[in-house]
Amino acid sequence: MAKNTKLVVSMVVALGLAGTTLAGCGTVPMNNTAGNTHASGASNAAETGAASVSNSSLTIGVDNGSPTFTDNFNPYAPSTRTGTNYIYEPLFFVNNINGKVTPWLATAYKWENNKKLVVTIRNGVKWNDGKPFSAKDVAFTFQYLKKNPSLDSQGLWQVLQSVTASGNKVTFTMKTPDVPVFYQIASTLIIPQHVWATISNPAKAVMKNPVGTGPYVVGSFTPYQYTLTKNPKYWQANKVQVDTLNFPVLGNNQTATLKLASGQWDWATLFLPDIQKTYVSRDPSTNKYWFPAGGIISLALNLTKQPFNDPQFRKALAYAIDKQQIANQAEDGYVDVASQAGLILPGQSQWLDASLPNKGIYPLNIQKAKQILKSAGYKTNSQGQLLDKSGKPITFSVEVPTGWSDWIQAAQIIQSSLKKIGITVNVSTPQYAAYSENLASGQFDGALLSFGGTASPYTSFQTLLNSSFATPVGQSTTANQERFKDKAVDQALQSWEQSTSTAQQKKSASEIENTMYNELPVIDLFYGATWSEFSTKNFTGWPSAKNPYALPSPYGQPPLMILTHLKRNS
Amino acid sequence: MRYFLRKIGFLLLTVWVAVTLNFVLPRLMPGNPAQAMMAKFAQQGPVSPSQEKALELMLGLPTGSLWSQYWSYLGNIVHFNFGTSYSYFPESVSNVILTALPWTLILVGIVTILQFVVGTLCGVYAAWNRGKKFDSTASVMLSFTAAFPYFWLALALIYFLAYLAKWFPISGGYSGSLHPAFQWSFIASAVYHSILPAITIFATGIGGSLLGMRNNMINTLGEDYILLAKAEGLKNRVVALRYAARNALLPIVTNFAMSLGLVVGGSLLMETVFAYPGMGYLLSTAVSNQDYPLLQALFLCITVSVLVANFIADLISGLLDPRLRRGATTS
Repeated sequence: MAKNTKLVVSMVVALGLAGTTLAGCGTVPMNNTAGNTHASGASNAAETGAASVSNSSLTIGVDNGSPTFTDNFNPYAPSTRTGTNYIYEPLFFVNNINGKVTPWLATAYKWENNKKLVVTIRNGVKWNDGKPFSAKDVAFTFQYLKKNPSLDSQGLWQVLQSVTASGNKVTFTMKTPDVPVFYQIASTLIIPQHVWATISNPAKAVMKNPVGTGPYVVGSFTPYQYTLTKNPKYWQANKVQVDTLNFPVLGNNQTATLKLASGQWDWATLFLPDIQKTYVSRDPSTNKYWFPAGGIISLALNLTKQPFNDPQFRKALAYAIDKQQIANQAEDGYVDVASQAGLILPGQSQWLDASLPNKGIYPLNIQKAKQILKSAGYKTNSQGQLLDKSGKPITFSVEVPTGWSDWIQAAQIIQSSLKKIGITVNVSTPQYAAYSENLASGQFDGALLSFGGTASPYTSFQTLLNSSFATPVGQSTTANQERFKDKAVDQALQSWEQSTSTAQQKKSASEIENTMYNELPVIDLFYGATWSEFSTKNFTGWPSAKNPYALPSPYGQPPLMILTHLKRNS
Repeated sequence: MRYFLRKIGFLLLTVWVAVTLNFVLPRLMPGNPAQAMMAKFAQQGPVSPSQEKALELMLGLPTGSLWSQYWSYLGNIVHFNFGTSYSYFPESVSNVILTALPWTLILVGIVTILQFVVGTLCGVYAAWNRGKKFDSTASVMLSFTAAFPYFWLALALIYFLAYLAKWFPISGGYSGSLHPAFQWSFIASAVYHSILPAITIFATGIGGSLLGMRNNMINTLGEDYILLAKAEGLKNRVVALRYAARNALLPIVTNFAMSLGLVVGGSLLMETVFAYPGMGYLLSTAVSNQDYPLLQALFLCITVSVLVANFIADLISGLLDPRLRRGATTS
């Protein structure tokens, strides 16, 4: 039950902060069992406003309201409506599953050198108020982020030197070579200059009828439901077959589950226990799901402390922790065990160093764990407790935010796994704020930590491993909180950052993967899932493990891609 | 008169203490609003380091020493200026509260009064006929329902009456196709949506008022003046209502005033389960988002209304019961 708490809370978030937090890889195959349709009790539809009224509409359970909606589609407001993502568009659509880049408002990009990126802007695109879209709007957007640092949630201007438009080209110049910043530039939502130039306090501006280039415009709005309707001026309007999108208030987890199960919603993002029974079986021919990975959940140990600073100790832990049990029990078997290479497989397999055994996954092997500890000089006492080098029994705590019940269960499985090699683990569940502060200041023993899920593994590795983030204990840091330091890794990261050649980037990647595998800066446990349930009753063409063209989430940027792929059933 | 002055002085003092606690408590919670917001982002996937910084800049977290924050806080309260809510950014706290307040006042207020009236009358009846059929079934059954976990009861009702039977909507305060307005269709929809929430609060709360009244009443029924009244040959109805119930009611009035004061805080569980747009939902949103401005304003509303309700109850009790006033002057 409490697991649900975590997930519903997650949906409260309208991801105005452009696609930095999404990622993935196909892990759980979509269930394709065909069966006889037996319509599950169709509806209370009129009452909830769910419009199964028309077969050219989709009802999406994703936007929570609190509990009702405020009428604001400002992409920079932290509490913006989820529908905002269906209205504004980025330069390129980046598929975080595999890093594939699809031209969107831009048609092409070119690195003139590793400090200068030139992007060609699409011709013929119009804002939904009829005014033409141009390279000037793009340059304006980035200038606007510079003028308002509070909007620059990706920290672009730490890297950018200047952004200028000329004709249909926009030129980005960096302060220092930074090739991976492309993904952040690519996913920045572009705003119209003619609307925003006069807005002086952007985060506080209330936008009821936002002007964007995207496939939808705001239709009707009430505090319990809003609709988006198809933008007739959309530049790829011929690809958009869904005329209306309904966003009813999500409500709490239990009621949301009932609404999804009763067929009121066509697309949702909920954690459902035993989904086969709770959702698919209600209408097996149309009720589908796909839960691809969106990040890696790992056990971070404080590397400034004994014995965590010993790679052999960490390696023994990697062999001793029953990761499969965590995937099966804590995550209901919806996810896969993570590779120690720090990549999300199979999505990012083009980056994987083929020489790593078993794709970098540490198998469960208690004997081997004990053997490694023994040869590294760790002894056990008469009660079977493992002793550190000073002769004291090893005991440490693993911190998990309170209420994140799947993580808590994972930590409990780690606890029972490590008991088998004589280590006592305490699971501690502080408030998220305390958890996050302990990690930031380095005042912890162990903690579950999620990372990865970015279009380029560079971004994940940079924030996880770069030693420039590893501040001394007591000083706050937002990245590399386990405080890993390795000059070779820093160099590999730097050469990756500066290189526009894929071969060179891959070389750096495999160096880092080998360090991940051999030194275990963090111990990778399992892939965190992106929850997504959808109905093929009226529309087909949803992303799947076979065709992972986007993450299946109704928030963030994937909807732009998905809604240009959905086909109406004839 | 002294009695009333003393009560007013006490009211002012408690309001000040409440206001100050209200300022201190949220600041003792670990973390800050930007981190709380990051917590939500973090659940959707790993977060980038620059996001938190950007959020802090945007929310404009309080700066300056605690003292200067405290003084400007007191100044703002006097002007009913509670600032901008973090969780409903960029809406102002006063606006957020004003939209939520009517929902709670109407639904929770009506149900609380109804519950009090029905519970008290049933309590009188049960006490008068104590040991008989109604008393034994109602008292036992209601002490049972009063002990139900609210959440469980609400979800069970939603499952059976809304999901399976489809008699009621699963959640919400009114239909998604309507705007709040003084129109028949809207009011009808709001009433329809409020039936299940009302039933749940009523069912879990009525036991308390029934049992409280019943027990008080049984005590007064043992008094000599009741015996005298009966011996005088007064009608049962008159003895029960005018003599016994009226005296038994005194302590209940205070309780009732308190619960009326608490109405302003909304029914937190009910509103979260039903996604009902009232004060309880605001409170839970404010707590989980560390929305200090909203939290402070909400706590202030709640404490002040409880204190005022208490004050009024004191005044009424003072008027009703001369013993209280005399007690005050002699002490």
